[in-house]
Amino acid sequence: MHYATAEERVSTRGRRITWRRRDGTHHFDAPSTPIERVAGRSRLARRAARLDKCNVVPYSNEDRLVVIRRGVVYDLELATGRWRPTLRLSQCRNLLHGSIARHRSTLIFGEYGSNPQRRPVPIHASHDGGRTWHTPMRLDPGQARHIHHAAFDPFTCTYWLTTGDLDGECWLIQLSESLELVAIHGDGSQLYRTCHLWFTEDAVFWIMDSPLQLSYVVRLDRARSQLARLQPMPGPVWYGTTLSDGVALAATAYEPGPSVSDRYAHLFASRDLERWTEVARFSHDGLPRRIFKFGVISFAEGSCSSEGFWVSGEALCGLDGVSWRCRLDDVQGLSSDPWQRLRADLSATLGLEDPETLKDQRPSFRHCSPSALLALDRGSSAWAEAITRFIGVRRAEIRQRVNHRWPDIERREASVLAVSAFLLRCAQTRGDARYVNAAATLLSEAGVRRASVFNPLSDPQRSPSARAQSLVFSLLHASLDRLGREGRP
Amino acid sequence: MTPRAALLSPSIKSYYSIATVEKLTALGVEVPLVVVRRMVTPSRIRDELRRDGTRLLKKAFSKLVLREPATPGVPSIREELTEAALKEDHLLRTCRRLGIAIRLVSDLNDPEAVDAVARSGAQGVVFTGGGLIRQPLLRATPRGVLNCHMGILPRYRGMDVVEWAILEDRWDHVGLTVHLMDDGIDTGPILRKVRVDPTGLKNFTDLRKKLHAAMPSTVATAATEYLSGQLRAQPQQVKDGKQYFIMHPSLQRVSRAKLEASGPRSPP
Repeated sequence: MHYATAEERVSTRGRRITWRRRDGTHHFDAPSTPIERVAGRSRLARRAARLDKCNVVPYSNEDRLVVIRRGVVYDLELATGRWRPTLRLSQCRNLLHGSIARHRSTLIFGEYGSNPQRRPVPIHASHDGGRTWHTPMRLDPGQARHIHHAAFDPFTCTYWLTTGDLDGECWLIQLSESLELVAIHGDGSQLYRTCHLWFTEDAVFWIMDSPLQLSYVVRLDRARSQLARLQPMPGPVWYGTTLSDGVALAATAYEPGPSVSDRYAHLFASRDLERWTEVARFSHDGLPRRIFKFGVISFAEGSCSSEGFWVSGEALCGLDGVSWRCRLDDVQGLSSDPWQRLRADLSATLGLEDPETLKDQRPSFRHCSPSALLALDRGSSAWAEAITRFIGVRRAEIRQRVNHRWPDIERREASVLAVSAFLLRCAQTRGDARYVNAAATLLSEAGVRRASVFNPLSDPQRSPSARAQSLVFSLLHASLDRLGREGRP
Repeated sequence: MTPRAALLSPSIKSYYSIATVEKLTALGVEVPLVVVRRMVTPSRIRDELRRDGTRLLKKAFSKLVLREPATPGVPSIREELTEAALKEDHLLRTCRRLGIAIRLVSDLNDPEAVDAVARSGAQGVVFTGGGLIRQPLLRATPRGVLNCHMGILPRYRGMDVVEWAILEDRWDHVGLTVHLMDDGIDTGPILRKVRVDPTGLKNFTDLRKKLHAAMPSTVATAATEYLSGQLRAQPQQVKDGKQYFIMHPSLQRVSRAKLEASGPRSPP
């Protein structure tokens, strides 16, 4: 799915473009060779030969599409269905999704090719909605390998382009509306390597797209030109978007590299661009990545809200060559305190009695019911010590004890999550890594694992305990990340 | 007066016990008795499985089958053994050579073991492993039981403290502590601390090997000095340290990455 609004959708499959509009559904087949047409019947062949790749920008009021496919930019008119080539790309066949800056009738993009000789990378622009093109600038030879992304910044009325890939090649290039160079931000390092930018009045945000270094959320303060490295992510982020109700989405890619922590593509959401919460993850399908593509999630452009937005995926279990319409069911919760959310989730799941009455109980594992734990102040170290000691000393009994005390699976899982969440919060407030260890041990011994695949279509009413599970594992991973950096959870 | 110390051993194949017996006798300590825990008893397997879980298999394989293979550049406990002990490769044979009485028991806390230690005339006991020690054995000799803990006390008590110290960036808290055992976990009075530089070692196996190699001489020297009245025990406060437990694999990974990243630089 390339583009989606309430009134229209543009999607592609192989060489076929489908444009659904109020006046009906229109199909267009891209020019191709007989070999492409035969190979295009197999999804695996399409993956291996990259036959699915294309970029589409609709101009609905003019009844036409701008399409980039296999190194050619086309102007495609709805009325005639004619594919009119308007530009031939010199270094690439396609661009990353959503990497064409569009402002009124101006379109800007830079080429995204492998460019092993580091030739000057051309930046193309059109001021008539893609009917004609010119090349207002080229990067200096060796300045960058290619352009990742181009975006229009509505707060300064400038265009931003991001470059990559290696150290010394990652820059943020700011151009005026008349396409003159305003500034080049960055030092070329991986910190400035990104495929998507988010703009606010005060800052520019991005998430690093570095398989070489741990990728962070980065905030560039406009006034002070200060850079802040915020939350770490489990992999490089290729695609991002902002929904019409202000929720930002970003997705990590599963690709080779030391910064890729697991075999999942993770989908994150945020309301403030600073704190990101994982909302889904998809496992790679296991086929060789260099040939059959990395695990990637992309988003449709256009205007969608968190009540219904589109994600597309490649090389992921259940999300390969297809798009899903998804809904975020806890938008307000994205920016609230994870502990408060956990309490609310678990209280709702379990229908707990008034936890205030349990506050004075003597700390022991026997009393570690969700009710008791939710009643506790997060700094209650006596409880955390008692539970940590029990888990540490009687580790082998945990599974048996947990199963005996909480025989109902749903309740057992919720109880284990509550205990773990409590320990992780204590670990954060008291800076004690032993509590993180106890939480990780308890989750392992009790057999509570994070759901590997969450299908928003088949599970639209994601249960509160599933959310609680996601929160606890987010807390755990955040604590482990912090331990790796600072030695304190 | 010649210092006299009994020795508690976890198994007849323990290099640590063999090397400690040899070091003690070389330092002029009379060793009247060695009490050895039988290697395979149902209660021992149950207790150790409860404590170590599946790690027990790895530990047994490493200690009994691999027998501490040498790593170039890393000290090994085998280097602490005399040629005769290396050839014997068995605590029973070493004790026989050195003229030391030996007693095999299923549990070190068995009344027969406690009785044998009490009647051996030893002033103190050197513990080289074999499970938890209870009050009767702790009180069986006038000067108590000495243990060499693979961590710096009082900060790091309990299990996996080498990994925990690295995880918490306490590089100066890697080493050995000889202390008197009491009914707490590593809470008894401290006799000696020896710090070991962990930087530059590639993994925890090598670091533990380096620490293990230093244990026999550290505990033997401290025992000799303590039993002959040259060394005084310093009590420790419970609040001065924390008890650590077996580290979960997810934290082990973090700790391992820190050690691997430490390279040859000096500790921060």
